[in-house]
Amino acid sequence: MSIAVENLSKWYGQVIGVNNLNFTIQPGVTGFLGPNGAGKTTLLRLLTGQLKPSKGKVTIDGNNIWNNHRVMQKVGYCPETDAFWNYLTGREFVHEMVRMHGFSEREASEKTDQALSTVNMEEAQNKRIGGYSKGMRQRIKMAQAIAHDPEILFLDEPLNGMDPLGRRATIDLVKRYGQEGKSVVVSSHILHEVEAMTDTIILINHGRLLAEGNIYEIRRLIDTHPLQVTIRCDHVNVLTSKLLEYDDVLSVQFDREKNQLTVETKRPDDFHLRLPDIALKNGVQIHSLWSPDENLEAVFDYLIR
Amino acid sequence: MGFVIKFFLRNGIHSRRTLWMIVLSLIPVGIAILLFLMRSFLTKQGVELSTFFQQVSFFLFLHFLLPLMAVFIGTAIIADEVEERTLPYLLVRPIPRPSLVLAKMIAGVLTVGFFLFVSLGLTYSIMVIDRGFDGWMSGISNLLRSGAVLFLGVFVYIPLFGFLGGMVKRPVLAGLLLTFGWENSIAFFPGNVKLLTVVHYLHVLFPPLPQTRLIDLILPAKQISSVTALLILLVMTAVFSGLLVSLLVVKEYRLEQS
Repeated sequence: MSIAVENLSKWYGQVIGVNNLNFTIQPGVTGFLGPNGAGKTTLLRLLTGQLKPSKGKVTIDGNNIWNNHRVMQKVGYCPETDAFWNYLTGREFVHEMVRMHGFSEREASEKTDQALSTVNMEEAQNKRIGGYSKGMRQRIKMAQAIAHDPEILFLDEPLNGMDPLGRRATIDLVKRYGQEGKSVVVSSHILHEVEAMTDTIILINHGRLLAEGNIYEIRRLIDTHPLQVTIRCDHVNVLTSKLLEYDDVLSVQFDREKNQLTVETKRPDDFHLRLPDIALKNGVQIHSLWSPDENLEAVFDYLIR
Repeated sequence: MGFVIKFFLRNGIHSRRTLWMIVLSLIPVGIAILLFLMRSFLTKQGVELSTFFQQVSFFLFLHFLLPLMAVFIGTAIIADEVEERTLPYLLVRPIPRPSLVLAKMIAGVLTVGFFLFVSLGLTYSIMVIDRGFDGWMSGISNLLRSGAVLFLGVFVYIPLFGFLGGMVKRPVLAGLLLTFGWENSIAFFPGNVKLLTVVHYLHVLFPPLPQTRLIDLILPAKQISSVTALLILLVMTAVFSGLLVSLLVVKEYRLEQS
């Protein structure tokens, strides 16, 4: 099934949610990538017919999605919001949601069992959702989205709050759905999360579509984007002087009191490969290393420039 | 549709509002028990306890409990799902939006109707307990008529307050203002302005109160027939239900992002 977005805009008074988007989503996994507040959730709500477009339209196999309950039979949606009817048990929640798709009591029970097993929530299924951990709540949200076996799955930040095992299982599940020919749309603000699930991404920022296509192209852009790396180590002076010998290092600022230096490099990959060797050869012990601007916002700012 | 109504009924039972419904339902029961305990004193004053029931059902149920319960339940029809952020789960199901709203409205009507009916029945039973089964049966037609009018009132008020709940930011306050600031005061005004209240038409259908000077003063002779009142109430129900349904069909709800 394909989802077509044509001239889609959504604004709330003076505030633009999404701005003149045009793209098509084919079967397989597609990642919506953008920093927080980029418009991903608004876009997903438009795609699932919860919001009415201010302009343009969203169609699923040619059927307009707004106010079209029939299309919803094929749609599964895992919202970003951590909201539930907390008095329900996990099992009851999934079961009630499946029943709303018109399945009989027996069919709904079978589908609920299957979904709970898929997200590995069989053990906790009879506990009240109010008592679930964040990761369990994410998994039960996922279960209600997949239980009725939808053709199209919209997942809004599905890995939020999940433990590593849960993340792994969810990533595998998303990939499997994509391989089965379903259309899966996953939104996230974390590049490597999306990268783990798909190659096909749509980059969004400030409600606008920045780029659409293969993730490796985006990676390449990111890799050529000057990166700041902050290193906390001993012998700050020695490391500073050694790093300045390389032409990809644009600047080094150091703070002796904190034993910390911030390097700006135009070839982050080369820099990261080289750093351990320099440290070893010069007896510099690195305590910590992080990149203050290695986030999507910085990359997007760079792409816009 | 039946399943969705059941789902909302269950949600209602687990909401904090149900506790309020129970407390409110117990008010007339408590008053009836108090009057029952004071019956020997009342008899000495020449007052028969069982004759009080009509006044209690009129002032306490029709003018106080019915609108108050309807405000609490009605304003929550859409507002609850929006505030609790559970609306997305419902909107992505293959259920027409009007059906969702109507199902929740019917669940609200049944909830308020149930509490009113049980409370009314208990209050009546306590007040006529001295008269035995025959005495209980003698007033049953009035009890049923009062109950039916209250139920009709629930059908009008729930969508009205439901619509208000989806339109204004402080729906309970707006509902209380409409109930006690308009309905309960304008309904007793002389002239035709009371035709603009819901409760006036319920007055017309309600079992007549024992004649006293005060009652004659505040409830003068009926201006319209019972059939007209019933028709107007049905039209009001349809209009308010239509407005409520249109809210979820036309209006979209922008939920807070977590």
